[in-house]
Amino acid sequence: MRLSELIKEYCLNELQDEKTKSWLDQKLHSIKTDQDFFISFALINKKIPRDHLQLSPAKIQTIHLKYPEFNIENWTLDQLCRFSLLMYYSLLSVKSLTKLISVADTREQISIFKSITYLENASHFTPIVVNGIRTNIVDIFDAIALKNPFAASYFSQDEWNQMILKAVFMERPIYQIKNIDQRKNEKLAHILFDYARERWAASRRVTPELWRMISGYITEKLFVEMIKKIAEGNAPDQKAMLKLIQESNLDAAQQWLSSQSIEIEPISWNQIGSDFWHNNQALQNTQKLNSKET
Amino acid sequence: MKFIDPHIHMTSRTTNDYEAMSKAGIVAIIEPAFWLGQPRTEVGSFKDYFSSIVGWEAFRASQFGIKHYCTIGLNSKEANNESLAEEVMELLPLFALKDNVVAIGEIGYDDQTAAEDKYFRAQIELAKELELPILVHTPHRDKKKGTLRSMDVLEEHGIDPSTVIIDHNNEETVESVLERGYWTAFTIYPNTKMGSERMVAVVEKYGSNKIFIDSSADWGVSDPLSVPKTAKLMLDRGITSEIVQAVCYQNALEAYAQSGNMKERDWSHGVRFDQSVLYGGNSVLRGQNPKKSTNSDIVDN
Repeated sequence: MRLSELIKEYCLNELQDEKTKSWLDQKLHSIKTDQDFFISFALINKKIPRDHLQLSPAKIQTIHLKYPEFNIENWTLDQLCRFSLLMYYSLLSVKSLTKLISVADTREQISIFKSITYLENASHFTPIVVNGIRTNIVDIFDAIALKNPFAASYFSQDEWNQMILKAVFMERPIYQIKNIDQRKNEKLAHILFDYARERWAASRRVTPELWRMISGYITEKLFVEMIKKIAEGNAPDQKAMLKLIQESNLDAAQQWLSSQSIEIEPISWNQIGSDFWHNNQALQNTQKLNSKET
Repeated sequence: MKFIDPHIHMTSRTTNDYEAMSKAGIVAIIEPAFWLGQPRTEVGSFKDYFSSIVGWEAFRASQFGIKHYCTIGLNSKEANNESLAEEVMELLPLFALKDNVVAIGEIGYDDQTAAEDKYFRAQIELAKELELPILVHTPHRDKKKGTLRSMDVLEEHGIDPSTVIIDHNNEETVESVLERGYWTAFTIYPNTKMGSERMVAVVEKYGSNKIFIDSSADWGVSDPLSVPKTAKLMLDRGITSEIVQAVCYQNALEAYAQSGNMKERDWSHGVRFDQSVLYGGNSVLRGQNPKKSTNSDIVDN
């Protein structure tokens, strides 16, 4: 069974209200014009609940085995219904999707950007997604950049680099970007090192996840600059810089490492990112609580 | 005390306003679609404006802990450009169904022309079809007649007055609007329309049933804090806090909750906002430290 058919079946099973169920089923098979498609897409707001699906572990397993990239747990019912509308509308073109996005609210745009990667001819929609990355609305940016394989599959190197730099700049969790290591490149490493210099000049920190993208491209000059900062950094920064040094073939890096008597605990880049992200989140929640109390 | 400002045009306001509003206890706002101070000449300008009030502006407000809603409509002034109006009418259903839209509005009369009448009626029918409340803008000139005419037309189309908000009332219109069962809103402007002092007198005379107030702050001389300031004045004059609460919060909520899109739980546990993770990022805060709101003090009138 194709992914779109499977999701359609899940959606229809999930809908309690018979009228809504037959409305959706009928729309999936009958839409013939853009205007009908736009209105139906918008009507999801009114008609479909926003809950996560009540799926048995067996059903989740079925979908994971067949479509390992598709994490159904990350989707709500209204998002999956919009996914289905996009998959089933046979006249969907770059022009009609561009119009749909231009009249979409935040929640709709999130559904669209999460779905595009599963469309037939997904690559045709690349300019739309590249433009989507220009958003200032964090939730929309996240829908494209995080847990979504589209960018890694279809963005050019410059487009990819812009997205990663913006994600670093917006302090998004880099480890949640799909295929982040496969698309590392020298140009990006240098852009990010420049970014680090700017931040240091302003006495501000950079995310330890930055070093993941620079690892493999460090030069002797950059290494000397970085190593000056290692003592100033706190634990997550040091862990990340040490991991970069460990992974480096640079003689200067290896010599420096053997001159130090440091025991380095093995840790993955994903772990470094996830630790940093969750500690930051916890810190912010405490700050929010404190500000409410005062 | 918590406040709702059910009529304010935030696209024209600065982040200083958002900060002050949040500090004064405003937790939710409604941004009616309106004109921009000069007429638009292309349908695309309407599309991008509607798009910004269903998306970007709501995000901007959330960064200050304020829940943002809007109304969608073709305003009466711009209804007079008929060829453009036709194109805008086609756009309306696409935006009126969005998540934060709580009414069709602000619609009604400006000069009370035939074109204004045509699009007022067409939008009343749209609201009926989409089961949305209606926000009516009453005219600045020939106000009393325009207000009565608006209500006549609504009733001609079979609209239930309890689903309609008639805005910008004054001492001359309040009685007939209340009598006919409409939500009766007052705009507190520093110089024109209603002043805070006059509003206190209205509430003393008519009570709080179906009455609420707003700032209608926009690109002109206006005050985004006029709801909390008027509330303070009412309390100082000995009006009970129950009545102040009704006029400055509860009634607006009840009127617009009829859309199904406005719920107290949208803000009662804090509006979800990410400004502290954005402080270095591409947010409206641009490197400033996030502001933490307190509700203790209201700026003096």
